[in-house]
Amino acid sequence: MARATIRRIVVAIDASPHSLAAIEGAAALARLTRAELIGIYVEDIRVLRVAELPQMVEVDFTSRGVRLFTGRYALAQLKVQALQARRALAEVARRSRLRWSFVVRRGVVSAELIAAAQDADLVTLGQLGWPLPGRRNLGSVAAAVLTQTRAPVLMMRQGMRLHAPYLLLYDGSEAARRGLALVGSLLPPSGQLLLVIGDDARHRQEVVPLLPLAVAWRTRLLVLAGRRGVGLSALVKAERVGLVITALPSASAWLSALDTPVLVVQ
Amino acid sequence: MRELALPPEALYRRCDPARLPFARSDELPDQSDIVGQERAVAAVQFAIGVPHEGYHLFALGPNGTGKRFLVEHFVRQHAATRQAPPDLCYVHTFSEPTRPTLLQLPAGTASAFREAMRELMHEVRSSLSAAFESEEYQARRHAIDEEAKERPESAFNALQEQARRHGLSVVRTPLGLVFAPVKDGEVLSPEQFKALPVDEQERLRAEIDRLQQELQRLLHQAPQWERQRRARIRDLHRELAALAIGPLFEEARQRYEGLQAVLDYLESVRQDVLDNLQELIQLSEAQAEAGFDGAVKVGPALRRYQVNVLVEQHQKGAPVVFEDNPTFANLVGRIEYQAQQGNLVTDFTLLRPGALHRANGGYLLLEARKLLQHPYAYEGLKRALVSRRVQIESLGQVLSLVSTVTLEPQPLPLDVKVVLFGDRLLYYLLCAYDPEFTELFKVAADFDDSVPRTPEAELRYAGLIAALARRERLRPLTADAVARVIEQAARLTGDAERLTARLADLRDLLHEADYHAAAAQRDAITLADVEAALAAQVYRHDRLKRRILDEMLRQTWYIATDGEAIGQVNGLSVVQLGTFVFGHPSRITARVRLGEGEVVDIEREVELGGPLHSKGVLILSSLLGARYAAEEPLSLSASLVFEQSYGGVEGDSASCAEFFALISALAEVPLRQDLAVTGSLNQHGEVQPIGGVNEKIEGFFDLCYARGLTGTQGVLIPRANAKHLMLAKPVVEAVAAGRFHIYVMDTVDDGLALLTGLPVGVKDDKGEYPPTSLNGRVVARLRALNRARQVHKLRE
Repeated sequence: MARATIRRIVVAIDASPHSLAAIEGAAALARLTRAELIGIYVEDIRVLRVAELPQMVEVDFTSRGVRLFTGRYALAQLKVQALQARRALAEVARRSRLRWSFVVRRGVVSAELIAAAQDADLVTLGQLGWPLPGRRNLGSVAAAVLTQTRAPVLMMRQGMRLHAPYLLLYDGSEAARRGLALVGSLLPPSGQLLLVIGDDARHRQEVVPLLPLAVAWRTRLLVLAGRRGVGLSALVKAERVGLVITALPSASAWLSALDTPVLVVQ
Repeated sequence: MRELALPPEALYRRCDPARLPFARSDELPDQSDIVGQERAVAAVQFAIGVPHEGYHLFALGPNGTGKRFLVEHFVRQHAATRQAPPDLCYVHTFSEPTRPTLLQLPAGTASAFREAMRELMHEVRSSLSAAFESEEYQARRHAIDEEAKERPESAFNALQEQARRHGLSVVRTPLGLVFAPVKDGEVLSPEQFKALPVDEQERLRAEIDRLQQELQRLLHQAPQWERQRRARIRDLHRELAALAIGPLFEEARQRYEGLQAVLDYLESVRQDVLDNLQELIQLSEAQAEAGFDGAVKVGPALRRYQVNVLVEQHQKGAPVVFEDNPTFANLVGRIEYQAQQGNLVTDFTLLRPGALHRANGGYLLLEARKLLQHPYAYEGLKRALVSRRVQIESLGQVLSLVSTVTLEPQPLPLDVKVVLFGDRLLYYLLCAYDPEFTELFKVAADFDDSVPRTPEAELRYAGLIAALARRERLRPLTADAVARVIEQAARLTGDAERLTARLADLRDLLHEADYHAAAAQRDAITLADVEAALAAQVYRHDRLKRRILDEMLRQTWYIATDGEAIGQVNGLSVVQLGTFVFGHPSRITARVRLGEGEVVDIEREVELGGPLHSKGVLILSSLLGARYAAEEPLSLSASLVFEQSYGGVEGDSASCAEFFALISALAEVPLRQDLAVTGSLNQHGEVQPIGGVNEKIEGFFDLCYARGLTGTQGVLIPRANAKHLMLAKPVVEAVAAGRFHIYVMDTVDDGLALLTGLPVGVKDDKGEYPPTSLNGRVVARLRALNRARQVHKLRE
């Protein structure tokens, strides 16, 4: 089985707690692959446009108070945030002795990230952007990147840590095979892989050719029965899984429920 | 004079092996009692039996008299008839963590309780894990979470929808949200906005204001919704946990039915588990496994459910504890600390018991001297006995040196009988200087250091020797060896009619004799082995004695053992170096000249004489004046000295010899130098007994023997000392052969007659001594001195 080559990892950073977790996840993978980290911060054009309007007022999340939202003020906020993002990336890269670079773009955030992801071998971002009340599922930016990027996308949330064992949801698809190739590059030398298949016969047949690989990678084969979301969540918790790799196109529906990093392979 | 000489059989009181009813000591049954000590035994039995407060026991007497052996014997006998006291445990007090709770459990069940609690908590955690991993929990939890998220999300979505309906959009900024007018999903430019009709602009602004206020209200409500969510989850947790752990606690309650304190504790544990579910659930299995057993690794979550077994009673009956190192902490217990990240921390699991905890419900045995040597140990013991409770605390707390927060464990109600062992001086000092002591230690068991030597006592002593040999795993002794040990027991007391009660000395002798028996490959200790052990004991210690003897033989130290000399007599001294005692002769001389009645004790003048020695000299001065110059002034000046003595002289046992030297000098009559003298005298001229008579005689005999016995040599001793004689075999043999002599004196006249060979003389009807008698010569000389003094005065 060929191994995927990971040389460039794009990290989307908006200085939110989730994106800071994404930096750590990207760094963990970069240490394994010796890849370069490319940090990207997008100055949201919509924010700048709003600021140009007269007498716009911002409701502050922290204080719950209001203040005038001017162009100068908005630009200053974005610059500060970009600086924070750069510092966070620099600190993690320095600690892990990784090559890194950082770019600031201006535009629609999802479009800029999708564009940046074109040359990437892997993209890392926070599952959510800045927290909003009651938001549960993927943020709009994450959802857009996930669906419009060919590169694998690693999604992290605040408090998550990427570590072995990995769990690969294998359905026999091309994407799943690419996921398997990725594991070859990303699994730490002593790490274990949990290869999870559905309980139908087709999936079992798919897995037979992979058995020699299983021995080489210290792989355990698990059959997942019942409802995918609930069963997988319990399995992740029980096995203390540190990364879920999935190729399922419907991933976004349930992956936000997992309390572990998720790598979605297209 | 012949009647003053003692026959050889009077010099050593034998123990006849033929009277001992065994050939070897292992034929005798074991004897756990001690010979004699009836008074002490009665006191011990009384103290053990009397239940009242303050009747603790002080066993006083010299070391090695078997105090501890005897007391332990009776205490253990009595302890075996009593019930074992409860086990003691400390557990966490959930309402007051700094005041650990003391639990008392039936004897021998504390470890089982600790294991039961460990098992219970293991089961609790497993049950909780299972409950919180169950699909039921996950579903209910998911529902609460979803419902909780639904509310703000719906509210926010509704807000967004309202905004959309009014041509507005919510835009996320780095620090918050802004409502902005949009058209076709795009934020209006300033120009587009200005191009809108004024009333439309006003409407949009008003709508933005309203939505902003709505958003602020929503943001204010968010924490409240979160609190509600947490409360619902907490209730769910309690409900599920109560169902999961309820049966476990019920089972435990049934097991400890009737032990209300344990039941209360179990209930408090159950409540605490329910109150701290989050903490327990978050512990991983691995942490918990390692943590519950380990001390430091355990977080407070699990550590507080541990049981600290302080004391567990494994023995039958009441405990008997001998604390060899009675420090304050070893008596009342201590609070240990552990270093954690540079700080010292403690909790109830680090409480350690003291001897009082271990002995509670039984007996505590302590060495009084050691108790007093350790700072505050005696005070701590008294405080516990007076207050009848033991509080584990550090010295820092007791002395108010430490003011940091620490533990105050529940005290233990105290019910213990304390026995202190110590020498007599210590007991009397404590009586004199510590009023509390006599209140607490009302019973004194006074151990004698010797017992009367009767035929029955000898037989019981033989039994004791047999028991000692058996207990010390030594070879048995033959009958003649036992007899010799009994004789040595008498010699150790310095009295042929008593036997030593210092078992330690006997035990040493048996060990050493056993060594010689082993070297000779014998299966029993024989007379020869005992003799060899005794000889070896002497040889190991008599370096100085031999050195002194050598110097006497080399004429460096002047001691005459033949001939006669005026104003010179052989006195006898005893030296004790460590445990070894020996005697040697000392030359005592006297000189007389005209004077005014003073007798100068040169030893006292140079402060080498002790008060008892000075007393003896003053008595002899008084005797001299009363006997020879009752009606006339005593016109002499005499001086007395121990020649070549450069150390201190103490005791009055030389007062006889000093008197003889003085009389010789006065009467100018020579004294025999082949005799040595010991004995004290009183003002009437009677000779009184002295100590160390055996060593003194042997000291002079050794010198005479080394120079060659002449057949006339001997020692004069007080008659009262005859019963103390247990002399060495060579002395007895020499006396039996007529080559050495032991004489006894009743009065100084007996000694003077022997030493001078002259009749001493008795006063006639006129009160005058015969002029040719020794006393007559003394009187004549004194009168001559008196006349000379009168002439001298007239000339002046």
